[in-house]
Amino acid sequence: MIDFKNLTIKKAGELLQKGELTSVELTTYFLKKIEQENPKLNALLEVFDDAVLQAQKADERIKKGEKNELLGIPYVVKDNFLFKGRKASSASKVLEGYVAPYDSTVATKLIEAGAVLLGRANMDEFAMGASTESSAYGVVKNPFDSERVAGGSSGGCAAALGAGLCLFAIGSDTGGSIRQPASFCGVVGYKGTYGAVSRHGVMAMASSLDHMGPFAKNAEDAKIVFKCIAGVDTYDATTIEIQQEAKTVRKIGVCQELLSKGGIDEEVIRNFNESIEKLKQNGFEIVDVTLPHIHYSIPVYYIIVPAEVSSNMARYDGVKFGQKVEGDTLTADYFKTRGALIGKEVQRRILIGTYVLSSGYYDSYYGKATQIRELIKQDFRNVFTQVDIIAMPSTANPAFKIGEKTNDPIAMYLEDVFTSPANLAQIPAIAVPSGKTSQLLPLSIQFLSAHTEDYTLLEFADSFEKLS
Amino acid sequence: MITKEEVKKLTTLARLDVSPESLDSLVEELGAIIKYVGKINSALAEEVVQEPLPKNILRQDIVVNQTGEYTSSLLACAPASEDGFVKVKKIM
Repeated sequence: MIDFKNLTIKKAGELLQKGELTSVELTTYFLKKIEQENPKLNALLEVFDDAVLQAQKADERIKKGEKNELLGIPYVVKDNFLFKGRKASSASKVLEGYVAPYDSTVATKLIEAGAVLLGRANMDEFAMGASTESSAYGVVKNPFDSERVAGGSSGGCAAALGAGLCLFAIGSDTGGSIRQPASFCGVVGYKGTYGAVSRHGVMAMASSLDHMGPFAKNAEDAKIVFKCIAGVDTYDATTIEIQQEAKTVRKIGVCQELLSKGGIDEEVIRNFNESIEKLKQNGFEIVDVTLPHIHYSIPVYYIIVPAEVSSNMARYDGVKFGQKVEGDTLTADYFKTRGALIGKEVQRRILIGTYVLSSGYYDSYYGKATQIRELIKQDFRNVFTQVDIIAMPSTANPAFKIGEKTNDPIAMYLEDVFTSPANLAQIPAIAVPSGKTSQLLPLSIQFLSAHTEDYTLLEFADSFEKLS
Repeated sequence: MITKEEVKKLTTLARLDVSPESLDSLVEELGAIIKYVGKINSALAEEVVQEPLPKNILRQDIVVNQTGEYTSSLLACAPASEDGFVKVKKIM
């Protein structure tokens, strides 16, 4: 009897290679689970009707003796990735019905690897949000408590994996959009070095902060997926090589100042301290470190992001693709299309971006923000001369209730307090499940490593999971 | 903080049609956000920041696509097209 519920990519891969399980059986199992669970979760916007066909092709490849860790493994992808011939909408009305005319680089790699794409996952519109409450297709419910959010913006991915509807998921992380929902849904979420994974064919939100990455049940699985999707790409000039060898980790930095600022849930602090204690008892040296400019992360983030968003969203004008609302003139077409079909949060960010980039304001907002960003990068570089890994909570609170933060944009922005620094500094960061609250909601610890030290971080996260 | 006129100007620049009710709530929300991000004004009083110069990554200047290779699949995405062109209302 196969224990489907507790399968991982590694375990399933072994069973597939040994012939004890077929990809068709595995895919059929997940499709049934999706049919049962997705209506209440709203994690997936579409289930692809060729999933079993993909699985059949994977089984043929396995029979021919092909070995690949992701061959035949079912997954879901966030709705902002382009897969040729499939719909992709960034959960926005302005892209309703849009069919991708080409494959993103991530798609190309996963198709080559033979993974089975089950469906596209719900998200905050254009990846702007921390709860999926801004999705044009309804909120994603947390699999641990349906009155709570699954997090965002990759909430659909996290909820699908957390509810056991797939073996991994692919999301995007600009300020925490992989790590925060991973933390709310009890799964691993990995954001690598900026440029480790190509952004070609993924709808851009804030181009200097967007990172593509995996959700998985454990760090070992996350590493398997990351290895497949990472790589320099001629279609994305910001891609870079990363270190291929993992370094030994001895010292872990904790920024006590950050943790004593207040606004962090008591159970999160207690759980974090327990994890640190466990690391100490297993021989790791814990070092107090300072990140002098980190408290500027959120204001800096919410200047740079809207600025880049306002530029990236200009393409949604009803001319070359997407939906259109007709006006009397061409200019009216733009106003009406964008006004009616782009959601409130996205509009807010476009307007803030327009403001901070306008003449007279550019230097005092955007100019200054990029300079502070450079100081934040320097803070991390300094700390990584003293320690190998930095530890902090993934989020200041476990999953919050649906509707709790929708009336206060800034309260929602503060969800990114622990996650946005790694995007600003463009360094690897991972959210790893670390326990549950007294109400059985998932808790999570976050680890960060130096620029290009992705495998050091993934190996360390794996050892953390295996600590007694 | 930010006036209604300033917000209206921003919506014009961003080509966003906004209803009068939405405009009122935007004035409030944008005001609060701009005030919040204005916290950065307390930074950098004495620090000199050397931002690294970006560098260009170039590819070979060679033709990679055949003429017309992607025309039909790209036009299929456009809300209006005619005779191999994306169609829009008159510009002038």
